Amino acid sequence: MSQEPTDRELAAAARSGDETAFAGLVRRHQAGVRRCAARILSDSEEARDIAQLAFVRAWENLAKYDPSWSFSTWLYRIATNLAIDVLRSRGSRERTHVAHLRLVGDTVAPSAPRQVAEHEVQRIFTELAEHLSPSQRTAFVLREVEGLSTAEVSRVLGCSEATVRNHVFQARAVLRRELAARYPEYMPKGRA
Amino acid sequence: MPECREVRGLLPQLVELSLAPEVERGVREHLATCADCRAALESEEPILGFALRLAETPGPADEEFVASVLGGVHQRRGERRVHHGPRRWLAAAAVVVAVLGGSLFLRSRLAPEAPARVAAVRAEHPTASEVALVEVEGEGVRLYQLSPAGSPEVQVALVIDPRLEL
Repeated sequence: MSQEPTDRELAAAARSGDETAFAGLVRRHQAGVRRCAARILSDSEEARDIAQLAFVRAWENLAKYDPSWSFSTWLYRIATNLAIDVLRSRGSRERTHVAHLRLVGDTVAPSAPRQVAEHEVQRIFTELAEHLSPSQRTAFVLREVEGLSTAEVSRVLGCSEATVRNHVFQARAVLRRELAARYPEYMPKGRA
Repeated sequence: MPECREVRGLLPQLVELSLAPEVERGVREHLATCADCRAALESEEPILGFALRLAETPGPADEEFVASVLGGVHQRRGERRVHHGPRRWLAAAAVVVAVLGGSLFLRSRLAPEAPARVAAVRAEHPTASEVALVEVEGEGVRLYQLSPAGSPEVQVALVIDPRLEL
Protein backbone atom coordinates (compact mmCIF):
# COMPACT_ATOMS: atom_id res chain seq x y z
CA MET A 1 0.00 0.00 0.00
CA SER A 2 1.47 3.35 -0.99
CA GLN A 3 1.77 5.93 1.77
CA GLU A 4 0.72 9.53 1.27
CA PRO A 5 3.76 11.80 0.90
CA THR A 6 4.32 14.15 3.79
CA ASP A 7 4.14 17.92 3.41
CA ARG A 8 7.92 18.14 3.63
CA GLU A 9 8.34 15.57 0.87
CA LEU A 10 5.87 17.39 -1.35
CA ALA A 11 7.56 20.72 -0.57
CA ALA A 12 10.97 19.29 -1.47
CA ALA A 13 9.61 17.99 -4.79
CA ALA A 14 7.85 21.28 -5.48
CA ARG A 15 11.06 23.16 -4.75
CA SER A 16 12.72 21.29 -7.59
CA GLY A 17 9.92 22.40 -9.93
CA ASP A 18 7.38 19.58 -9.55
CA GLU A 19 4.04 21.34 -10.05
CA THR A 20 2.06 18.18 -9.35
CA ALA A 21 3.61 18.00 -5.89
CA PHE A 22 2.76 21.65 -5.31
CA ALA A 23 -0.82 21.04 -6.47
CA GLY A 24 -0.95 18.29 -3.83
CA LEU A 25 0.01 20.80 -1.15
CA VAL A 26 -2.63 23.23 -2.38
CA ARG A 27 -5.31 20.51 -2.28
CA ARG A 28 -4.25 19.49 1.21
CA HIS A 29 -4.17 22.97 2.75
CA GLN A 30 -6.60 25.10 0.76
CA ALA A 31 -9.57 24.52 3.07
CA GLY A 32 -7.68 25.52 6.22
CA VAL A 33 -5.99 28.54 4.67
CA ARG A 34 -9.16 29.81 3.02
CA ARG A 35 -11.22 29.29 6.17
CA CYS A 36 -8.61 31.01 8.33
CA ALA A 37 -8.36 33.96 5.94
CA ALA A 38 -12.15 34.19 5.83
CA ARG A 39 -12.32 34.31 9.64
CA ILE A 40 -9.71 37.06 9.79
CA LEU A 41 -11.14 39.09 6.92
CA SER A 42 -14.83 38.27 7.33
CA ASP A 43 -15.11 38.13 3.56
CA SER A 44 -14.98 34.83 1.72
CA GLU A 45 -14.24 36.34 -1.70
CA GLU A 46 -11.38 38.43 -0.39
CA ALA A 47 -10.20 35.41 1.58
CA ARG A 48 -10.11 33.35 -1.61
CA ASP A 49 -7.92 35.95 -3.31
CA ILE A 50 -5.62 36.19 -0.30
CA ALA A 51 -5.33 32.40 -0.08
CA GLN A 52 -4.51 32.20 -3.78
CA LEU A 53 -1.86 34.88 -3.42
CA ALA A 54 -0.46 33.10 -0.35
CA PHE A 55 -0.02 29.86 -2.29
CA VAL A 56 1.63 31.66 -5.21
CA ARG A 57 3.98 33.44 -2.78
CA ALA A 58 4.73 30.10 -1.16
CA TRP A 59 5.65 28.65 -4.56
CA GLU A 60 7.90 31.60 -5.30
CA ASN A 61 9.63 31.30 -1.94
CA LEU A 62 9.95 27.52 -1.65
CA ALA A 63 13.72 27.91 -1.74
CA LYS A 64 13.47 29.85 1.53
CA TYR A 65 11.22 27.29 3.24
CA ASP A 66 12.92 25.88 6.32
CA PRO A 67 11.83 22.22 6.71
CA SER A 68 12.27 22.49 10.50
CA TRP A 69 8.96 24.42 10.35
CA SER A 70 5.74 22.59 9.64
CA PHE A 71 4.68 23.49 6.09
CA SER A 72 1.21 24.52 7.27
CA THR A 73 2.67 26.92 9.87
CA TRP A 74 4.83 28.52 7.18
CA LEU A 75 1.82 28.77 4.88
CA TYR A 76 -0.38 30.26 7.63
CA ARG A 77 2.34 32.82 8.25
CA ILE A 78 2.30 33.95 4.62
CA ALA A 79 -1.51 33.99 4.47
CA THR A 80 -2.07 35.75 7.79
CA ASN A 81 0.52 38.41 7.00
CA LEU A 82 -1.32 39.15 3.76
CA ALA A 83 -4.67 39.14 5.57
CA ILE A 84 -3.39 41.47 8.29
CA ASP A 85 -2.12 43.87 5.62
CA VAL A 86 -5.61 43.89 4.09
CA LEU A 87 -7.22 44.42 7.50
CA ARG A 88 -4.95 47.33 8.29
CA SER A 89 -5.60 48.95 4.93
CA ARG A 90 -9.35 48.67 5.28
CA GLY A 91 -9.84 51.32 7.92
CA SER A 92 -13.36 52.62 8.10
CA ARG A 93 -14.61 50.45 5.22
CA GLU A 94 -14.97 47.64 7.77
CA ARG A 95 -17.98 49.15 9.52
CA THR A 96 -19.96 49.50 6.32
CA HIS A 97 -19.04 45.96 5.31
CA VAL A 98 -20.16 44.44 8.61
CA ALA A 99 -23.43 46.33 8.50
CA HIS A 100 -24.01 44.86 5.04
CA LEU A 101 -23.23 41.35 6.25
CA ARG A 102 -25.72 41.75 9.05
CA LEU A 103 -28.44 42.67 6.57
CA VAL A 104 -27.59 39.66 4.41
CA GLY A 105 -27.62 37.40 7.46
CA ASP A 106 -31.03 38.62 8.47
CA THR A 107 -32.56 37.69 5.13
CA VAL A 108 -31.31 34.09 4.85
CA ALA A 109 -34.20 31.71 4.19
CA PRO A 110 -34.78 29.27 7.06
CA SER A 111 -34.87 26.25 4.75
CA ALA A 112 -31.44 24.90 5.74
CA PRO A 113 -31.18 25.00 9.55
CA ARG A 114 -27.55 23.87 9.80
CA GLN A 115 -26.39 26.39 7.20
CA VAL A 116 -28.36 29.10 8.93
CA ALA A 117 -26.80 28.18 12.27
CA GLU A 118 -23.29 28.26 10.80
CA HIS A 119 -24.01 31.48 9.02
CA GLU A 120 -25.39 32.96 12.22
CA VAL A 121 -22.29 32.08 14.24
CA GLN A 122 -20.04 33.47 11.51
CA ARG A 123 -22.13 36.59 11.22
CA ILE A 124 -22.05 37.23 14.95
CA PHE A 125 -18.29 36.65 15.05
CA THR A 126 -17.84 39.06 12.17
CA GLU A 127 -19.76 41.69 14.06
CA LEU A 128 -17.99 41.15 17.38
CA ALA A 129 -14.52 40.87 15.84
CA GLU A 130 -14.90 44.39 14.54
CA HIS A 131 -13.80 45.47 18.02
CA LEU A 132 -10.53 43.52 17.90
CA SER A 133 -7.18 44.77 16.67
CA PRO A 134 -5.75 42.86 13.68
CA SER A 135 -3.25 41.10 15.98
CA GLN A 136 -5.89 40.11 18.55
CA ARG A 137 -8.22 38.92 15.82
CA THR A 138 -5.55 36.85 14.08
CA ALA A 139 -4.22 35.35 17.31
CA PHE A 140 -7.75 34.41 18.39
CA VAL A 141 -8.64 32.81 15.05
CA LEU A 142 -5.41 30.82 14.83
CA ARG A 143 -5.33 29.74 18.49
CA GLU A 144 -8.98 29.22 19.39
CA VAL A 145 -10.72 28.52 16.11
CA GLU A 146 -8.04 26.81 14.00
CA GLY A 147 -6.58 25.08 17.07
CA LEU A 148 -2.90 25.88 16.44
CA SER A 149 -0.68 25.62 19.50
CA THR A 150 0.59 28.78 21.20
CA ALA A 151 4.09 28.02 19.90
CA GLU A 152 2.80 27.67 16.33
CA VAL A 153 0.86 30.93 16.55
CA SER A 154 3.95 32.71 17.87
CA ARG A 155 5.86 31.48 14.82
CA VAL A 156 3.08 32.53 12.48
CA LEU A 157 2.83 36.01 13.99
CA GLY A 158 6.53 36.39 14.62
CA CYS A 159 6.10 37.27 18.30
CA SER A 160 6.68 35.60 21.67
CA GLU A 161 4.34 33.01 23.17
CA ALA A 162 3.61 35.43 26.03
CA THR A 163 2.45 38.02 23.48
CA VAL A 164 0.22 35.44 21.79
CA ARG A 165 -1.40 34.57 25.14
CA ASN A 166 -1.86 38.24 25.84
CA HIS A 167 -3.56 38.84 22.47
CA VAL A 168 -5.82 35.81 22.97
CA PHE A 169 -6.89 36.78 26.51
CA GLN A 170 -7.58 40.35 25.43
CA ALA A 171 -9.54 39.12 22.41
CA ARG A 172 -11.61 36.82 24.60
CA ALA A 173 -12.39 39.65 27.03
CA VAL A 174 -13.54 41.97 24.23
CA LEU A 175 -15.61 39.25 22.54
CA ARG A 176 -17.17 38.20 25.84
CA ARG A 177 -18.13 41.79 26.64
CA GLU A 178 -19.62 42.39 23.19
CA LEU A 179 -21.42 39.04 23.11
CA ALA A 180 -23.04 39.75 26.48
CA ALA A 181 -24.07 43.25 25.38
CA ARG A 182 -25.41 42.37 21.93
CA TYR A 183 -26.41 38.73 22.07
CA PRO A 184 -27.14 37.83 25.71
CA GLU A 185 -29.10 34.81 24.48
CA TYR A 186 -25.74 33.23 23.51
CA MET A 187 -24.36 33.63 27.03
CA PRO A 188 -24.77 30.81 29.55
CA LYS A 189 -27.39 31.45 32.22
CA GLY A 190 -26.05 33.66 34.99
CA ARG A 191 -23.27 35.11 32.73
CA ALA A 192 -25.30 37.50 30.59
CA MET B 1 -9.35 10.35 23.11
CA PRO B 2 -9.94 11.27 26.81
CA GLU B 3 -13.23 10.47 28.58
CA CYS B 4 -15.74 13.08 29.79
CA ARG B 5 -14.53 13.08 33.40
CA GLU B 6 -10.92 13.60 32.33
CA VAL B 7 -11.93 16.34 29.90
CA ARG B 8 -13.95 18.17 32.55
CA GLY B 9 -10.90 18.17 34.78
CA LEU B 10 -8.77 19.65 32.00
CA LEU B 11 -11.14 22.48 31.04
CA PRO B 12 -9.60 25.08 33.40
CA GLN B 13 -6.20 24.42 31.85
CA LEU B 14 -7.70 24.67 28.37
CA VAL B 15 -9.09 28.08 29.30
CA GLU B 16 -5.70 29.12 30.70
CA LEU B 17 -3.94 27.96 27.50
CA SER B 18 -1.68 25.78 29.60
CA LEU B 19 -2.35 22.31 28.17
CA ALA B 20 0.37 20.48 26.26
CA PRO B 21 -0.45 20.60 22.52
CA GLU B 22 -1.04 16.85 22.18
CA VAL B 23 -3.34 16.79 25.26
CA GLU B 24 -5.22 19.83 23.96
CA ARG B 25 -5.71 18.14 20.59
CA GLY B 26 -7.40 15.19 22.34
CA VAL B 27 -9.59 17.49 24.44
CA ARG B 28 -10.65 19.45 21.36
CA GLU B 29 -11.51 16.24 19.50
CA HIS B 30 -13.65 15.17 22.43
CA LEU B 31 -15.38 18.55 22.65
CA ALA B 32 -16.22 18.42 18.96
CA THR B 33 -18.35 15.33 19.56
CA CYS B 34 -19.62 15.77 23.15
CA ALA B 35 -22.38 18.34 23.67
CA ASP B 36 -22.34 17.96 27.47
CA CYS B 37 -18.63 18.74 27.78
CA ARG B 38 -19.02 21.62 25.36
CA ALA B 39 -21.79 23.04 27.55
CA ALA B 40 -19.46 22.70 30.55
CA LEU B 41 -16.79 24.62 28.63
CA GLU B 42 -19.25 27.34 27.66
CA SER B 43 -20.21 27.88 31.27
CA GLU B 44 -16.51 28.22 32.08
CA GLU B 45 -15.66 30.47 29.11
CA PRO B 46 -18.55 31.29 26.72
CA ILE B 47 -16.23 32.55 24.00
CA LEU B 48 -14.44 29.22 23.75
CA GLY B 49 -17.74 27.47 23.14
CA PHE B 50 -18.42 30.06 20.46
CA ALA B 51 -14.97 29.47 18.91
CA LEU B 52 -15.62 25.71 18.80
CA ARG B 53 -18.85 26.31 16.92
CA LEU B 54 -16.95 28.49 14.46
CA ALA B 55 -14.37 25.74 14.02
CA GLU B 56 -17.06 23.24 13.03
CA THR B 57 -17.56 24.93 9.67
CA PRO B 58 -15.41 23.16 7.08
CA GLY B 59 -13.32 25.37 4.85
CA PRO B 60 -14.14 25.58 1.15
CA ALA B 61 -12.13 23.29 -1.11
CA ASP B 62 -12.43 22.87 -4.87
CA GLU B 63 -10.35 21.99 -7.90
CA GLU B 64 -11.13 25.33 -9.44
CA PHE B 65 -9.10 26.97 -6.69
CA VAL B 66 -6.17 24.60 -7.30
CA ALA B 67 -6.30 25.45 -11.00
CA SER B 68 -6.38 29.18 -10.27
CA VAL B 69 -3.32 28.87 -8.00
CA LEU B 70 -1.40 26.96 -10.68
CA GLY B 71 -2.52 29.57 -13.21
CA GLY B 72 -1.07 32.24 -10.92
CA VAL B 73 2.19 30.28 -10.69
CA HIS B 74 2.42 30.08 -14.49
CA GLN B 75 1.68 33.78 -14.80
CA ARG B 76 4.46 34.65 -12.34
CA ARG B 77 6.84 32.36 -14.20
CA GLY B 78 6.04 34.16 -17.44
CA GLU B 79 6.56 37.55 -15.80
CA ARG B 80 9.90 36.40 -14.46
CA ARG B 81 11.01 35.34 -17.94
CA VAL B 82 10.11 38.73 -19.33
CA HIS B 83 11.66 40.67 -16.46
CA HIS B 84 14.70 38.61 -15.61
CA GLY B 85 15.48 36.67 -18.77
CA PRO B 86 16.51 39.55 -21.03
CA ARG B 87 18.57 41.08 -18.21
CA ARG B 88 20.65 37.91 -18.06
CA TRP B 89 21.02 37.86 -21.82
CA LEU B 90 21.86 41.51 -21.90
CA ALA B 91 24.57 41.04 -19.28
CA ALA B 92 26.07 38.16 -21.26
CA ALA B 93 25.70 40.02 -24.52
CA ALA B 94 27.29 43.15 -23.05
CA VAL B 95 30.39 41.13 -22.23
CA VAL B 96 30.46 39.68 -25.75
CA VAL B 97 30.03 43.12 -27.26
CA ALA B 98 32.76 44.58 -25.11
CA VAL B 99 35.21 41.83 -26.06
CA LEU B 100 34.20 41.90 -29.71
CA GLY B 101 34.26 45.66 -29.95
CA GLY B 102 37.58 45.86 -28.18
CA SER B 103 39.18 43.29 -30.42
CA LEU B 104 37.84 44.98 -33.56
CA PHE B 105 39.15 48.30 -32.36
CA LEU B 106 42.58 46.89 -31.61
CA ARG B 107 42.72 45.06 -34.91
CA SER B 108 41.84 48.16 -36.83
CA ARG B 109 44.58 50.06 -35.03
CA LEU B 110 47.24 47.38 -35.34
CA ALA B 111 46.42 46.13 -38.83
CA PRO B 112 44.07 48.53 -40.54
CA GLU B 113 44.20 46.74 -43.88
CA ALA B 114 43.36 43.29 -42.48
CA PRO B 115 39.75 42.23 -43.07
CA ALA B 116 37.67 41.56 -39.99
CA ARG B 117 37.61 37.89 -39.21
CA VAL B 118 34.48 37.97 -37.15
CA ALA B 119 31.74 35.65 -38.30
CA ALA B 120 29.80 38.59 -39.54
CA VAL B 121 27.26 38.84 -42.26
CA ARG B 122 26.70 42.11 -44.02
CA ALA B 123 23.14 43.21 -43.96
CA GLU B 124 21.43 42.88 -47.28
CA HIS B 125 20.30 46.48 -47.26
CA PRO B 126 22.90 48.55 -45.49
CA THR B 127 21.93 52.14 -44.84
CA ALA B 128 24.22 55.06 -44.20
CA SER B 129 25.80 53.05 -41.42
CA GLU B 130 27.49 49.74 -41.88
CA VAL B 131 25.64 46.97 -40.12
CA ALA B 132 27.21 43.74 -38.98
CA LEU B 133 25.13 40.87 -37.82
CA VAL B 134 26.69 38.33 -35.47
CA GLU B 135 24.89 35.22 -34.36
CA VAL B 136 25.99 33.96 -30.98
CA GLU B 137 25.59 30.24 -31.28
CA GLY B 138 23.86 28.50 -28.43
CA GLU B 139 22.90 31.80 -26.81
CA GLY B 140 19.85 32.55 -28.93
CA VAL B 141 20.74 36.21 -29.48
CA ARG B 142 21.97 38.32 -32.37
CA LEU B 143 24.25 41.31 -32.10
CA TYR B 144 23.85 44.15 -34.54
CA GLN B 145 26.82 46.49 -34.70
CA LEU B 146 26.29 49.85 -36.37
CA SER B 147 29.17 52.10 -37.22
CA PRO B 148 29.60 55.11 -39.48
CA ALA B 149 30.72 54.17 -43.00
CA GLY B 150 34.48 54.04 -43.22
CA SER B 151 35.03 53.93 -39.51
CA PRO B 152 36.20 50.65 -38.01
CA GLU B 153 35.14 51.67 -34.54
CA VAL B 154 31.96 50.20 -33.19
CA GLN B 155 29.56 52.98 -32.27
CA VAL B 156 26.37 51.17 -31.36
CA ALA B 157 25.62 47.56 -30.52
CA LEU B 158 22.12 46.13 -30.41
CA VAL B 159 21.36 42.81 -28.80
CA ILE B 160 18.19 41.26 -30.17
CA ASP B 161 16.40 38.07 -29.29
CA PRO B 162 15.58 36.61 -32.74
CA ARG B 163 12.12 35.66 -31.51
CA LEU B 164 11.34 39.32 -30.97
CA GLU B 165 12.48 40.42 -34.40
CA LEU B 166 9.85 41.60 -36.83
